Amino acid sequence: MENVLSFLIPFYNLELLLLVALGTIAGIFIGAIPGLSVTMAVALLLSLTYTWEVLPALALMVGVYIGGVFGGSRAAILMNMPGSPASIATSFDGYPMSQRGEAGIALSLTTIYSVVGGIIGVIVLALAAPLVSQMALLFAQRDYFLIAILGLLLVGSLSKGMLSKGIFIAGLGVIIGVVGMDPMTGAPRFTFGSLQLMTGVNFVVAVLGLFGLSEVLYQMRELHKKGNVVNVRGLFIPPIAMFLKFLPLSIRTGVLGVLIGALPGAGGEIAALISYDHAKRSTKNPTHPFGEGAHEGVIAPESGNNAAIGGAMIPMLTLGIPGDAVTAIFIGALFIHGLQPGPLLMTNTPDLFWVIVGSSLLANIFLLIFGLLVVSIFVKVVTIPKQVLLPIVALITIVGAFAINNSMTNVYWVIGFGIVGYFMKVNNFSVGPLVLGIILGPMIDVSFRRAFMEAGNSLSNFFLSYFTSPISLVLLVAFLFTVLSQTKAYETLKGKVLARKS
Amino acid sequence: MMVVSAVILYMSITMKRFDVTDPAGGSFLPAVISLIMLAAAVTTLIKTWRTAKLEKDASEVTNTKVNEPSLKLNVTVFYYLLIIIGFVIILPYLSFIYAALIFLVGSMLFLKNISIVKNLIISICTVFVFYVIFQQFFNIVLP
Repeated sequence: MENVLSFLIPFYNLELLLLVALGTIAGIFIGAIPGLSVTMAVALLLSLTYTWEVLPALALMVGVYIGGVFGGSRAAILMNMPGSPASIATSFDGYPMSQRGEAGIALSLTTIYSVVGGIIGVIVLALAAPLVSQMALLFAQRDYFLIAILGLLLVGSLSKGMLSKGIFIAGLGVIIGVVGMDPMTGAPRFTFGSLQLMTGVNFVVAVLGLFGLSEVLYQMRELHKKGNVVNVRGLFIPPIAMFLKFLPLSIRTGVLGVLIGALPGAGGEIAALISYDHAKRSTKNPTHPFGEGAHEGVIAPESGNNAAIGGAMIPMLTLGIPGDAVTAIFIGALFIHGLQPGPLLMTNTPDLFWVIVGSSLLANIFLLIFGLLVVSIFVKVVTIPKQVLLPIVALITIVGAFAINNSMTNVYWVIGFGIVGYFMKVNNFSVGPLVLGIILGPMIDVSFRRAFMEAGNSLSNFFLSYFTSPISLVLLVAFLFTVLSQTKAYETLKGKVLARKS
Repeated sequence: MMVVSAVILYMSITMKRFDVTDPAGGSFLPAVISLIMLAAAVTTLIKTWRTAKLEKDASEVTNTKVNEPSLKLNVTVFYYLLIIIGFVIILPYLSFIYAALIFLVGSMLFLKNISIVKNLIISICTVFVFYVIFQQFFNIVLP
């Protein structure tokens, strides 16, 4: 009980309280700036807090992590440029809302339901950490393969218009994702003999080019075209009825987010995309059609990706396995401070676990305060003339690419991806499936090959292995259902059932 | 799309140190994916033909322009891309402050609608703020 009360320390220790507050506000702005990733910010903080005590360092990093994941949605809504990969899904409906003059509503709704998702994540982290981590431990390689494929099947929801174009682009993304040294044999794949390609294509570079520079170039086409004047509202607090209307969806996607976040490798971006897909499939009468500014389309991914933070912390703290790139840096931070992340961490230093839980809860409270108060500051961004905004975004993108590892090579890659993304947009190809493929490609590749080898190098054994464990069977059923739900036959059947019901 | 799929398939088959028929190898999955991409490309081609035919029939009635795949760069986009490439080239030689200042002033001059005084104020302030944040606060080594 004494240890559990440690979670109150960040609430009454002024130093920790201020550091969490500073981290959260800094994270929101860093996350909002395209090109500045939360991973980079946490990595930089790790070097800055090297000599600090462990608790202040972790409190600041937790604040930046939670604020940064949330901040990404600001740029996604206002400029259609997700500040972080976790905000890609938010841009699908957030930007149309902004164009419709509902930027203030979109920013406020995402703030409130991000906090709902975040608190769900913290509660699960605090109460069910051992259970969820044990479940994740039971996953076999075949299950990871199926999870990655399930994620890739989201192209049906992501591809605007033709599904075949989405499948092609997602496939291309997987190929780009496996470029470089084969992680299992060390042999080069799709490197064209280039040594620089041996380390693969940097995911952050691809996102910067596809979402940052290509958007700058794309918006240049309509530079002198007068857009709709955005109806700017500073502080929008939804009425209770509206809050309650969307609460069940945010709770469902929050739970989804925390479960996905707990899976190693499946971070906030996948949680947000799956949450968006869930909202699309489960909402019969959205406020507007999905992709055209549905309120549900911004609420679901934001509650999902914030809940995923709590989920990602579960295997990190209880098993020593990172849930995403940021938690991998957290593990590094714990090692630096002489701690051993894993099952022993909760036994040897339970107070540390509870301080992290308390800091996460506090960061969510600050998120609500700052997120609602600085709405007007973010909304002002859309009133800046494109002639000013676009060169600044281009500058940040290029400097951001350089800052990844102080290399001009990444800058050239960003320009390349920017040009590719521009032509994709011009020819009605969605860039979302490409990014999804790049994220999931390595996971699909490695998990499939390992699962195949585990099945004795036999394809029949590999397929039969899905019937040997309840987890695999449930995932297989989910996979088959997702495939079927994207066919015309399912749509026809669904239409008939709905018609009969009405 | 078909050419890209075919190139990936060819590269997967001819990949050194891997046997494309071995699912545990590094070229099996890329080959499978390239085949799926090829199938998607063929489907897209068929659908585009059908849509183009329908649009053509409709345009003959309404006399409207048919949408065709484009690889053309808009003039503004093309020149702005050159400005970005120019910035990237001068960046290692001039250092961040001067290169960024020239890039921002040049960009806003090219894109017009911003007075020269405003242009200079915004550019200098932006470069100063970025320099402080990146270099001094985040300790990023700028070029």
